Amino acid sequence: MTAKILIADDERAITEGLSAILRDEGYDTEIASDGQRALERLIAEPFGVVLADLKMPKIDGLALLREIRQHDMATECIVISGQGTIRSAVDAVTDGGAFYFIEKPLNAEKLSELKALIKKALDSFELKQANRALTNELQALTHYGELTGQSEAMRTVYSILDAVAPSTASVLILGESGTGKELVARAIHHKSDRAKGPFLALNCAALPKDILENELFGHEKGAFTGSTNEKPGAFEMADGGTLFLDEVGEMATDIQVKLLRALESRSVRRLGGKKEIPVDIRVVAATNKNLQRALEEGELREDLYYRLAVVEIELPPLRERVGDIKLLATEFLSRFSRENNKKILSFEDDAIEWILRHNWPGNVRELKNTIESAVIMAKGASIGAQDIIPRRLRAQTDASQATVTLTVGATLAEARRQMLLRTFSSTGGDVERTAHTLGISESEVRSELGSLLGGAGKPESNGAMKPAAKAVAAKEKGTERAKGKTKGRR
Amino acid sequence: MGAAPSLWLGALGRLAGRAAHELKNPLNGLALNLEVVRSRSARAGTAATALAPYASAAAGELERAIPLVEALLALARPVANPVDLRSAMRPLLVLYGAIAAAGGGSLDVVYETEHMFVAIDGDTVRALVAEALDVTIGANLDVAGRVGESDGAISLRLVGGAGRPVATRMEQLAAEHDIRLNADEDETLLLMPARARAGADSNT
Repeated sequence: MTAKILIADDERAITEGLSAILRDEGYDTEIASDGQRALERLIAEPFGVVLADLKMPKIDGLALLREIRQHDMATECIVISGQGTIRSAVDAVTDGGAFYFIEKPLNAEKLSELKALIKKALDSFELKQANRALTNELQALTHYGELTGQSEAMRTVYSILDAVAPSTASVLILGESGTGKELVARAIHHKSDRAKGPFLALNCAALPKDILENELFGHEKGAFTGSTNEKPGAFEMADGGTLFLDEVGEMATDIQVKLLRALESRSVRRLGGKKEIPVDIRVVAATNKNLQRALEEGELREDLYYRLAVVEIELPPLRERVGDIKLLATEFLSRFSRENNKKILSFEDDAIEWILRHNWPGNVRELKNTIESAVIMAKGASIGAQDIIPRRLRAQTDASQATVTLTVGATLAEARRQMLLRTFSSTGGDVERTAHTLGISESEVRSELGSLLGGAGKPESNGAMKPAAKAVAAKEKGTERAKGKTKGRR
Repeated sequence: MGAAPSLWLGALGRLAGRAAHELKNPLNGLALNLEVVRSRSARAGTAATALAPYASAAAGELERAIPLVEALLALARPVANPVDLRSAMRPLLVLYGAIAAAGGGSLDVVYETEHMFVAIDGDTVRALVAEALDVTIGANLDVAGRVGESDGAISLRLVGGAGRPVATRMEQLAAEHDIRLNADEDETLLLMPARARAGADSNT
């Protein structure tokens, strides 16, 4: 179906005549008698083309064009004006953005020109729409809500979220600190039927026991010394929405009992209160604790665990989704450059090499903070290693290049990968020396490195490879090995 | 050529440029509606009644265009002596009225008496009246004017205008003829000497 055309002009004889002509050509048209009305219609639904006069009541044509650009609409603009000299003014407003211009009056020749312009503009609009749809599809491959990642591990998380979000099930998110547990909780909320309701996050580890209980359940006036007013708790405030309880494993056991009771009865009683207050909430909880140990040692009640963990989502640490590191780093660079009014466009090779090699024990949060700091400190148009490596780590960096650290539980393949890449790096990208050091053939070295990078990053004929390319190759390989770590239980 | 004819021709040129632009809207409406009539009437089975609204709209646009063309033609002709201010102003008011309306405003002038003869030549009168209107008319402004005669002087007062400064050459022209012309935020005032009553009467 061809997109609609909006005719914006306060001259009724013109809008009616033009509309009739275009309808006879098979177009679907709509008329707006002033700029304000035109803008409202453009916001309400997508139009392929707007034919706008420059002189209009309320919002004139130039202001309308500016609004169209500011709203980033795909709508193509055709300006119809009696003033041929106004073209430069329109150019200035649209800041070089695409628009077409035709001068009144529309005699037979100009009418033919207008019809041709409309066809061209509609083609351009369709192309823009298709392009945007593709961009959105691409975005969906690498993003989910506020989460960023295209690794197999994150895609598994996304597919679990897709299944879980629309349900009413309680969700327990597991993962190290900084892996993005709250972002997952937000994504669940926004993809659920409760999206229009409140989202409330409470960190159970950040509050002393009494205050946490008060925050959760609220209190009545006079419930304790100093309680001069009644106060609703998080359960009541999140009514109709989602309550995110972070670090739930840190909650005192007697509060755990009350929490379990509230979840089962779907009602809460304020401190000092007598009546049960019904609540309609979904609880999403998170912990970075070793749950098995917490359950064995009685730190987390088993009955509460089963109540909270109807579905369990395990977020992989950043070191297990190394294929996402560059994507995340680039996004943070772009975001913090913008926020700090800097024009830093890229990382230098040594910086990206360090980013990809670092273990990121603080996960995405550490990466984010590191890049924010680097952007603030950087003086040039790119981030170098000296900008990004924290001072406390600089001394270790050289030494660490000569060592490989492996976590218990890492696969042999991961160990082989790290050995290969670290050795390759320490030889300055010399395939022959790498092969000699590791006791494998040069063809094996080439094959393993080359398969990681495809044609673009294969070792050159002299056996050398750029350090950054080596690092990328190393981490991409790590991604493949790390997949399948996230699990869901439904 | 003296200063007055030269300044009037300059003012007329600027006004014609602006008025021609305002003429484009009715011409555009006329062209579009005639095109609907032409193309649809060529199709078999089109009822005449279906064409009527477009023919009517085209006629309406023509009615809008005619006064503008007539006003432009009137300004191309010299003003008869002695100069009746109302007659001299009429085509200027038609054109500036269209410009004001196109900008979302209005221009409304009332005359206290039917004829007011000024003791100045036609080119000077039209150049200065055009300047007074030019510095006053602006987008989204409702301008109210009054033309009256008292104490041997004829005044044109315009209230609610843009209050743009009068061009130096026009101020000089006014001074040469003992005419007052000034514009500020509150009012534009053009004060001209009236023609002696006996002479005026003999010509009416």
